[in-house]
Amino acid sequence: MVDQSPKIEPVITVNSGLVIKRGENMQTLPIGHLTAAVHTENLCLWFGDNQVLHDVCLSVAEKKVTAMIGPSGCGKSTMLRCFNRMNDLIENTKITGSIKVYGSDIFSRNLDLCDLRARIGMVFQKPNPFPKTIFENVAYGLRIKGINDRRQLNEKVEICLRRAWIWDEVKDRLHHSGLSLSGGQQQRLCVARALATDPEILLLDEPTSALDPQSTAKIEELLFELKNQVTVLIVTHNIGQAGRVSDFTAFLYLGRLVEFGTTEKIFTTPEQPETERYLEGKFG
Amino acid sequence: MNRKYSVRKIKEKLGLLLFRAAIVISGIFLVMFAVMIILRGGSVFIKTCAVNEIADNYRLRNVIIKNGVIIDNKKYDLSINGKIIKGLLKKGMASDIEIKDDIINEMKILNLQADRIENSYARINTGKSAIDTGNPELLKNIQFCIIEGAAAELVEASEYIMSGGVEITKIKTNLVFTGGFLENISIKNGIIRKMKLVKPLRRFSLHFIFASPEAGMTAGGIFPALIGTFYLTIMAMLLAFPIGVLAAIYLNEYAWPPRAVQIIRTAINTLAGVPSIVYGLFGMAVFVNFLAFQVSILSGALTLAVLVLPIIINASEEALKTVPREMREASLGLGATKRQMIMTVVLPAALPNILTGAIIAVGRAAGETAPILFTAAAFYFPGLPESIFSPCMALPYQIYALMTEGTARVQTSIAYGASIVLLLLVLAINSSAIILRGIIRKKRQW
Repeated sequence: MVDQSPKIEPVITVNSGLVIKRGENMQTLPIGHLTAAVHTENLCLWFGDNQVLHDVCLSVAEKKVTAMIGPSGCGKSTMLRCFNRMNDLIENTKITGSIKVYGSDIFSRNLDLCDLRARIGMVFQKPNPFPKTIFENVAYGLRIKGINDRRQLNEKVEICLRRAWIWDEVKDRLHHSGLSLSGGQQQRLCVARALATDPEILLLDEPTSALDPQSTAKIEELLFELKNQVTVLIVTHNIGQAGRVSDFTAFLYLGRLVEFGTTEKIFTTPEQPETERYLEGKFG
Repeated sequence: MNRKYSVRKIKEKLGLLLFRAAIVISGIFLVMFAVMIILRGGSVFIKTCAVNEIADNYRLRNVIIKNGVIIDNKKYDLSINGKIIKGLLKKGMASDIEIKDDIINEMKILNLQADRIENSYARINTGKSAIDTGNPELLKNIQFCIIEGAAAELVEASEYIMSGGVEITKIKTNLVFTGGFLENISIKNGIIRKMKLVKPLRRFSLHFIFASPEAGMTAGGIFPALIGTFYLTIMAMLLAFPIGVLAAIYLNEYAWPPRAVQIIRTAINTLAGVPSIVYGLFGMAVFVNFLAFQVSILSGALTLAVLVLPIIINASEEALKTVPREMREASLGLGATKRQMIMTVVLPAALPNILTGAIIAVGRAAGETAPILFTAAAFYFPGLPESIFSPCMALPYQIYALMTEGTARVQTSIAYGASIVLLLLVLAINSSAIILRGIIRKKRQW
């Protein structure tokens, strides 16, 4: 099915306007003057016989928000889950190509997977707090690292809840179940939980798709706050959201990276016709 | 359109009817089960004991004793507070009292349902001197005999005094009620001199649960069997639960490749369906003989543990599968190792469902007869087990023994009574597990 799709040359547009075609040397791909936090090269991924990602080359700028957009089933979430090797959990997954996080290969044998995942926080599409108290939810990342000092935990939990803009709502009921919160609050709790391990990169997999507009607005607000602190990669179905929160936008279609560039450029002058059609809502 | 709608409606109705019928049939079976078992076994919880004496003003006349045998006692005059009532001896009255050498040899009690007439012979073989002196021990014995024989359905008569050899010449205080028993019988020269009928009081008693069996399991309680079953069940669960849960974790989370897992699962499912007698033989071969634990609680508990292990593994695996993938991913995404994920997220989340499986296993372990037949159960071992290396009585086996070896009718009711206790024991263990599960659920707030 994938093979019958039109062949699209992946093009990486960088905010300086430099265009690098597939097959050229992308070892030190610049994102303007910015450092690449994550860098993929010829990333291909198969679930069984089904190739989901085709030769994706993408650089994610450090401490910027990068949005990944595209129609359903185009491989955005799968792509996101590659960065902290969540796809390892799915059987029959085959990955070729390379992913580097701050220059180090995440498929390297020497890599400590737990350390990698602690450095790359992830927030999922569906709010998934643990069936524990709010406090324990946020403290979880620290506890599994072996930090059990009460004072340290208290401090960190408060900081994270504040950073996730939820402290005021939950400060009086830290020892209630995380599941007693509303959907939007749960999702912000999940963000706080992800922030507790001080991740350098935060992966958000359609974090607002299950939320009401007000909660969505709060999450977006939160992303503005996080900007310049951590590198954020967000997958979203909501084009408007990508436009509002992101600095860079990658457009994926049928497992291929069709276009990547600054959000401003993608949204105003997309180079590829598919991008334009998608943004105009012609398909998706 | 209209017709189609009505067909749909009928189908709906029929469906509902079918579901209702199913639940009604299950309900009927359960109710029948409970009623039967209580009817047959409930009597063991009723203890008859004598309390108040009966008033003075009752008189018995026309009871003739010849050669030490009461004859022609069908007619009597009853005087209640001076007023004489004539009548026939009613069902449930003592009759055919045979006295030989100052000993009451036989005493027949009417009243009883036809099938119990035979048992209503109350044989009293107490010694002469004892009766004369009114030794309380022997008097108690008489009482016991009468109660047992007449199934506590005796005539109630109070104190008769007879004199003049064969004929009753004087009745002082006296008799005749249904339900009651004789006490203070005093006999002189082959004559019942004094006989006190006492009103019985039936009340609920836990004597059956907390007493040891007596008289070759025809009397007394079932405490050693209860304790034996309790030990066996608890020990089997203590052994099987951790092993089962850990094995399920391995199978569900770690085992690889899938084909090998499939084979192991099939093997476990097969084991879960193996008849329990096979486990009994296995237990005898391995624990009793090979490991030389002898017939002991340890052997029995190990055999039961092997029996319930597949059940616990299956249930735990199902429970682990219900833990949503998002939970696992959230945990791993925060940098948890696989072990940390399992211990901190998966296991706590699955624990209530694992406990549900364990509850089923408890019922199985407590109720199985065959596995303990050769490994732990003693036919008659009235004391409490001293260590895990001693054999013990066990409820299911005792029920089996009572029903197969016993001849006395009373053993049937003891067997049914024991099954009530077994049910209550399983219910008690289950309830505590359910309460525990409730506490965990509440704490985890799923």
